[in-house]
Amino acid sequence: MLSYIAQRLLTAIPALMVVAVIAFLVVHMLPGDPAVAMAGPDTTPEEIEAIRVRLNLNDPIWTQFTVWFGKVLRGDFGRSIWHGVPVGSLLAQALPITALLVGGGYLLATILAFAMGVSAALARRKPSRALWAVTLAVTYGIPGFWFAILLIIVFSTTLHWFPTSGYASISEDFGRALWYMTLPWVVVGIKNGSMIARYVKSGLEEEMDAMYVTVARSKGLRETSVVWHHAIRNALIPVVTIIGMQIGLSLAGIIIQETIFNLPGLGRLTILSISQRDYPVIQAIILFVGSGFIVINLMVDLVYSYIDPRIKYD
Amino acid sequence: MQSIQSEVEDSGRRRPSGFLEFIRKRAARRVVVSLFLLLGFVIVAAIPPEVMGLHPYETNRKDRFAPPSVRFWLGTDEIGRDLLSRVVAGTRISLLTVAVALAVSVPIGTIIGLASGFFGGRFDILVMRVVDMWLAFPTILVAIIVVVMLGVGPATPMVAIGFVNIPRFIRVVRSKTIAVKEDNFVEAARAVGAPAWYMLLRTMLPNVQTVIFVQMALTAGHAVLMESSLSFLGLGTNPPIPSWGSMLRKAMMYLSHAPWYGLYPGVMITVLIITMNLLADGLKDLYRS
Repeated sequence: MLSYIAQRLLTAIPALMVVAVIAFLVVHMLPGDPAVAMAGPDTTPEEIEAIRVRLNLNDPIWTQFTVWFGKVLRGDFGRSIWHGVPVGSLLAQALPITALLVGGGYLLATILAFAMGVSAALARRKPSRALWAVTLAVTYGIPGFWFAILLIIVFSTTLHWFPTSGYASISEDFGRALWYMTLPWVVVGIKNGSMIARYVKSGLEEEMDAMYVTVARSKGLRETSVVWHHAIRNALIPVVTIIGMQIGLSLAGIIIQETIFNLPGLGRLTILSISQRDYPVIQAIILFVGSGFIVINLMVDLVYSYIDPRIKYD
Repeated sequence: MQSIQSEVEDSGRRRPSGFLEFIRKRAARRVVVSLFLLLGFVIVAAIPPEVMGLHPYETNRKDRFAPPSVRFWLGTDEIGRDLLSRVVAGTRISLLTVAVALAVSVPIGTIIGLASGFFGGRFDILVMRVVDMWLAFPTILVAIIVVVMLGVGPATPMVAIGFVNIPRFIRVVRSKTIAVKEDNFVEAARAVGAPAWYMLLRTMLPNVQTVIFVQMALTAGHAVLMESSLSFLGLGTNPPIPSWGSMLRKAMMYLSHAPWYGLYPGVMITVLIITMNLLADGLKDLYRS
């Protein structure tokens, strides 16, 4: 087990290096001179030259990379062009908000995924199966941003139950923060929940056909016991991977939800810095998201081998 | 009497042939229904809006935010354009994006996936490393980066969406190739001395095509979602070309006094995506059985 962990950690290192190279290259592959782009309009050639010197743009690209990467390793991502503050502090401000959105949303998603997936799988031979099929198809197919707009139309602009957008700090006013987060959580929860529910459903359906389930039934166990004590445990294994991968992939949804609900998190920071051409911030976000995804994959693999002892570590 | 009875029973038991037998399967019905829906979308996109009596670009200053009425069935937008016309015309951009995205991702993904799975070895390891890295970034972030790098233009979002879908094709084609390459017919082709290109395109490709079709349907749904998301974020098609995503972007600003504006483009996106997903699910089940 320990050697497996060590081996997985070692394979993660080249992946992290590639992420760093990509984050570095994206800015250098942009059309035009990065110094001109970074300086923005209305700058003199002397100012641009100063930026070139400050960013070591006159050095060979390999030297530039090592200098940049050395700073990154020390936690120095440079300064935001637009805001003039260190990129690290921008990320530190945005991260808790995204964590709150993802955390609450995923809690809801997991609960919904089990409720919907198990109900749909058990309704397989009942008339209600069509209802579940439609529910899953619609919640899976509906675009997250339009679903958010629908919720805003119904619950904000018509019923006035929840605010249309905005954010309150959870440490300052807990109730208000929950009030602002409800609609974003519902969108993240239902969208990701239906995605995971499809895997819960197909996994459980497969297990319900297995011999050991027939054995459990024929020894007289109640159906609830058969499902919850026997089948679900085996159906759960692939679902853990899906949940892990979804957290990484749901960033697409997060970017859009934060833009719609005006939550000052990582997703909105991404969109803002792209439209403001704030390259140091874009670099830091690519680096952060890419390495975050690698770390999540790593953790999923480790959890996976823990819950399914059949997986060999060699 | 009895003989007639048994004959009736017999004919009931006898399976109808051809198409009728085909659509007896639930998966087949799903495929047929979704293909019909898709055909409907294609026809709507193919006919010029003016021929249908629609005017997606005509502005009516006096009729800004007109609610649904006899003249404007779905109401009008912020500069008085007919929403029905714009929603219908928006089909074009979505389907064009699907076409371009597939034209970019299918050939590249298929060839790399076939070669990677068939030849194996170091090339395969390298390809899979690249694919894993490629998939490690959320697709929308990659698409946004590509759009920013190439500059916003009519074709860039479409190419970007095709680009982010390449690794998915590589992955499914590769695993299917590995699954079938040990079969006897491959051995036979090798035994008669078939060249590599023949083995890949004439021996392997027809046997992995099912996964390609399923993945095409999935990619199509994904492309519709990505196109509308990028347009919604302001990185897609430029106005005044009607696109469902950019319509919703505008509608967001007027939700309180023109809620209908935010409904129709979303309905279209949802129906088109569900159609594609239905097609993918149906094809998957059909090929499995």
